[in-house]
Amino acid sequence: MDAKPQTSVKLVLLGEAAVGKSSLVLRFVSNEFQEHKEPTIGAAFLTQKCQLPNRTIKFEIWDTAGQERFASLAPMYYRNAQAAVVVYDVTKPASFVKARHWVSELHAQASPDIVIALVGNKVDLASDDNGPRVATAEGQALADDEGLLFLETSAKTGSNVQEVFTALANKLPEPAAASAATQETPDHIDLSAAPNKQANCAC
Amino acid sequence: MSSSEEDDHSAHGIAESFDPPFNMPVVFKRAAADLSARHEATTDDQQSSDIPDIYGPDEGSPYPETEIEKQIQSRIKADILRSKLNYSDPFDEVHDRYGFRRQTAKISLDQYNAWWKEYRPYIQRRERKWQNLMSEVGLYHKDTTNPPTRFPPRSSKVTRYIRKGIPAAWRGNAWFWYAQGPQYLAKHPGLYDFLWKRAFANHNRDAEVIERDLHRTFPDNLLFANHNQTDDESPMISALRRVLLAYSEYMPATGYCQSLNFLAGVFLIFLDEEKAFWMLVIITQKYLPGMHDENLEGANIDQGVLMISVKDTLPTVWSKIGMGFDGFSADQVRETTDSAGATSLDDKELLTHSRASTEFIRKLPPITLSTTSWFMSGFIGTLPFESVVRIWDCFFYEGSKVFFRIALTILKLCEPELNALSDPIDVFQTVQDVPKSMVDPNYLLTSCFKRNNGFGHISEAEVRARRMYVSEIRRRSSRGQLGLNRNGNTPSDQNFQQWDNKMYKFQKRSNSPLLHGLPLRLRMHRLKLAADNHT
Ligand SMILES: Nc1nc2c(ncn2[C@@H]2O[C@H](COP(=O)(O)OP(=O)(O)OP(=O)(O)O)[C@@H](O)[C@H]2O)c(=O)[nH]1
Ligand SMILES: [Mg+2]
Repeated sequence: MDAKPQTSVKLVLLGEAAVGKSSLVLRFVSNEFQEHKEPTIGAAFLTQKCQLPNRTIKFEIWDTAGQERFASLAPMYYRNAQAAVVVYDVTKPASFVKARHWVSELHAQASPDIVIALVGNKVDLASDDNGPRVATAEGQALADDEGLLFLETSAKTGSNVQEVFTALANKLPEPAAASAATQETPDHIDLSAAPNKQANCAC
Repeated sequence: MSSSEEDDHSAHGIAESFDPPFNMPVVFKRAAADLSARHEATTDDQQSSDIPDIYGPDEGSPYPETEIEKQIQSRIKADILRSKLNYSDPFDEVHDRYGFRRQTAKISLDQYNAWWKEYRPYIQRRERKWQNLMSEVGLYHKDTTNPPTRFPPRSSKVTRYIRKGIPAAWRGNAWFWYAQGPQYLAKHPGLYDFLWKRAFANHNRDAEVIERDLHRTFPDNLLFANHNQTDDESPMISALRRVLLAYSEYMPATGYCQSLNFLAGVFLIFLDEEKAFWMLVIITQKYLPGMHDENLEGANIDQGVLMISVKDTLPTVWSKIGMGFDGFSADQVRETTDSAGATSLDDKELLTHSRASTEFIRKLPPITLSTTSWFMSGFIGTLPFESVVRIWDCFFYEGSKVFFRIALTILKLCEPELNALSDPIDVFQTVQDVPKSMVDPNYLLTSCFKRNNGFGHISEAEVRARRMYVSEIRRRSSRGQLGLNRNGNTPSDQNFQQWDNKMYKFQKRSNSPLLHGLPLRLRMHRLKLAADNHT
């Protein structure tokens, strides 16, 4: 297992306050959930590894603060990020508007190679018909238009959370270095061609 | 802290003994009526609606008296809840004397208990010392049960006593006293009640974002957690709602900023809500100016000041944190360091420096993504709670320099670990995680205030000068980058203008010299002074 090459990937989480960014990370990193998670001030930093069949991805995660006024700090995180998760709360249509905004900002400002996942969180709340809900089709449409991965998740139940990170890991281009002479790897698995291969993050 | 006890208290009619000044003062009624008349006359004047009206129309609002009554009842309950803290004995086996869980992500229960065993006799000793000191100056009598509300004037002895910790039961009052809270309160009697009522009546524009954070404030603390059986909202949460709403009403240009919930939450553990409200105003206006503003420029400025100080006094640490993955290369660091003549930078040197040498101020190194929250939340969530309140003891007495000194001390204490690291990612992790495990406040504070420790002896005047310096550099470079508004002002000018407008009204009412007509810079200066002397 340790013989596999390891790639570090900078990942940034963006989205309106209280949509569940920190909760998604907590679920991904520790498989836990807190009913009342404290707001993130500035940013929090976490790492977690994700095992793919032929390599290990070490996510270096910047979990950012959601309130509008912290947005001025955001370029500092995403400027060099290789992956981004843009989160909205499916029960809060306003947070979807914000997500749209983040996507266009990333396209305009971040690295052109950045891999972005759009995530509609808190699906557990949406099921029992309370108030407006951002339709799955709406999220999917945005993702299709902008070339994003798209998943609906619940940090509370854990539904689809690992999948977000696995999908990102699978979609990340394999660095040129990985096929360099220093590494002895079975190099013929084309991940980008088979993004749905059963590869899961080991957590 | 069982629920039945709580019910007992309210049933015993403690309510009667509680006599809050809930009547809206005549002066506010008059101001409100006056303004609402003016408001009607100029309804379609776009200009005037840009200006936040802190004494806007209020009379005849449809907000039902019964709702106000409910708020008042919950305020009484919050006071009762707080009065159950004796601040000396832990709540129970798993919670500390403030209601927080002893065990945290980075400190095990065993570690906590081992520390507390040592620390408890220490605080008892300090309490006796304080009692003696206060008796000597006639501010304390052994038979009184109420904590003192006045504290001795500044002296080197008092400084020493404060640095060793204020007795927890007196802490809130001491903070309030040294931050000049009584003056604020005396000058604006009844304003707090007016503000929160007004916020409820007029639907404050931050109401929703505040609501979102209420239950996310100290969810593990017994005072803030929902009622065990009924899952009813804790009266402390209701108090927090009123305080934050009142703050947003009072400071419409700033509004609510995440992290204020934590600051207010700590004040509410030690003070009643009216005083907690004023402490929130004081900390944001006087101690951490601009830090929580719309563009957080005050926070960025303080990060610039901190980075200069690190560069200046902790060169090894700087070599680790001054660079990062974000385009701020080690080369630039080297260049900066060389041109600064080794590592010392005095203000004159800085002023004559090339652009490269101030790059780290314009474009803060990524480590500031972590350290920004240290300042914004006053180390809540960064250090264990006992350390937080010990730092605040010094902070309200000595000023903002304390936060800088503590930040430098934390980094200094991280130094051995940092030295072993080369990957910037590990550096972030260390700077984020190490403070969380610093269980002993005495170690932290002694390291901080130790004489001749060779770092971090930054004075209040230096903090002021450096803030001005950093602010100026950032202002110059931000033109064009931040985007200027129509008048060619930066967003921060705009903030000041709004503040200006508000203060103008405020001062007009209190017959202070009018600021109208002065050039903006001068007005900003005056307003800052006014805010400082606002007491
Ligand atoms: N029911 C439900 N609640 C969730 C879910 N994810 C998060 N929450 C709750 O929503 C609240 C906000 O979650 P956070 O993870 O703190 O949100 P955030 O996006 O990190 O918020 P900021 O740090 O303020 O930007 C918390 O009280 C969580 O417990 C979910 O999938 N389902
Ligand atoms: Mg968060």
